[in-house]
Amino acid sequence: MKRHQEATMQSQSPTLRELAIPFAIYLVICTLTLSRVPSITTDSINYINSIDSACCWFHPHHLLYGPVAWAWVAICKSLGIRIDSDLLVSELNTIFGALSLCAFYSIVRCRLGSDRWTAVLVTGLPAFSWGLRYYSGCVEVYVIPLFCLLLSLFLLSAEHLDGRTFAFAGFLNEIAVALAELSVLFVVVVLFAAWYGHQRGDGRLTKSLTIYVSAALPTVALPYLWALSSLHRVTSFETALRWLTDYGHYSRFWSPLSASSVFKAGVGLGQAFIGSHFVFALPLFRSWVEIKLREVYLINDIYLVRNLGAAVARFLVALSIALCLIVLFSGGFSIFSWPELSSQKQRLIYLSLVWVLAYGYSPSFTPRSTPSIG
Amino acid sequence: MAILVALMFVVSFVGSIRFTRNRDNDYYYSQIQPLLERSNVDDLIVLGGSEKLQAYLRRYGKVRSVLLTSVSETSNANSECVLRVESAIEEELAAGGTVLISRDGLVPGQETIRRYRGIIAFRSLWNRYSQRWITREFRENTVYILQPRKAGGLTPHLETYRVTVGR
Repeated sequence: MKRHQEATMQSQSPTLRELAIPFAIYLVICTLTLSRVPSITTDSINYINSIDSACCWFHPHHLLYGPVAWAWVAICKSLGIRIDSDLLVSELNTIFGALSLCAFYSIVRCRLGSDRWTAVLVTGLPAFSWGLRYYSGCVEVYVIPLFCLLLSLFLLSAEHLDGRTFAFAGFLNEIAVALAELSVLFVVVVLFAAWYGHQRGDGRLTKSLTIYVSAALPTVALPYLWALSSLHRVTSFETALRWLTDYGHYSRFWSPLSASSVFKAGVGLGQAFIGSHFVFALPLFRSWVEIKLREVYLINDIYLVRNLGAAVARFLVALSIALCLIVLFSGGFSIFSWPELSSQKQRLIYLSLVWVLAYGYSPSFTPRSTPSIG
Repeated sequence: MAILVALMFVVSFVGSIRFTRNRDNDYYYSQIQPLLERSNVDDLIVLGGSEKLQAYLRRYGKVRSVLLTSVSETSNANSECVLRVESAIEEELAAGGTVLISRDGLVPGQETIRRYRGIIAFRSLWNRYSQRWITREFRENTVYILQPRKAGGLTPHLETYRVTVGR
């Protein structure tokens, strides 16, 4: 990295003291509202059981989450902390949720050039969205990878991209993949960043991607090789491949793209931002959704809000509509100022859009509309 | 921006987050709670096809459980799977333990029947046991309880506890 680039990056990095504000606020809020309802996420209860029993650690689609969570629980217990392991693991996610917000805050502060309090306020949006908020307070695999991916986004949205940027991004991206395989979708963002950098003369596309792959491949291959070598059931190349592609062999995990795919993606996106469980307290809406999404099991979502009054639910629907309108209008007005934005800001917006689209595509073909918290 | 953040907080907290702080709002926990309240570590619980319920039992109850779909999958014939479950129940009762059968064991859902045709073979077994079990109805689940035969013991009857669970 050239000297003037380093100086730019250093002057743009927020201090630890500055980052302590969003970190502490979020850590406290999340800790006070840790989830006691594992059924809201698909596999939470299975993660808790496997962490507690210290068996079946290596899951092909979120390889390192079990060992990391188990190690965290073991450390906490050795320090004399005697509380439920599900709360301990939830707290680990809370810490990484808070760190993710610090990364988001840094992006707003450094890449968009906002002042400190505006950045805190903007960070409030992901902080209080259902996706990040809930997944930071329960036992699930997505928040630690999210931190790695936000750090990657921070690097990839810098003024100048060089080989080191792509090497770091490759390393962080594949740590995220080893923790939750879905993070592989972030590769689309890296490809776009490399292409965009190439267009601006920041480096050759092939060189950037070669550096990315040479950092990414060993980072993800080593843990998988470790896992494969320790699994008794893996005895040949075929059994290894069968294990690595586990979900691909069950039709219940997949549904073909159809007209309802768009609706499912909408449900996933809605849940990511506002949770939207309150809509199930409206009897008419509930029956309509049950018809529309026959194959999606929503009974646990409906049960969650069974004591919510229809009047409160209607009020929350009104607030949600207001929220959507504010977002649409402010987004619409922002389009007019698009040409005035610097190319760095434009690139950040492109990268974020590519990320949202890549993740938003996922719930459209999985039967359960998992909120895409990215 | 401040309005947007405030709206986001209110909508997600009031409409979703606040309910996730109470375990009673968990659908699966509410299903196993009646089973947990009426079982000891030595008892046996029979479940239909929900691996999720079995996972909840493992987490919160530490009680042994039998999953009918799992037995059905690992048996060669319907008669074999019925025999295996009957043996497990009889062994449990002979050892002085109690067997609790969850409603989803007796009345499997359409999806479970579609995926595990063999599960309907258990109907004959339940017809036989229905002569001697005690039925306890709760708001979220119905539990069928089999106890060792004792002179002067409880006779088959139905008890309803609709308001005790899930409030």
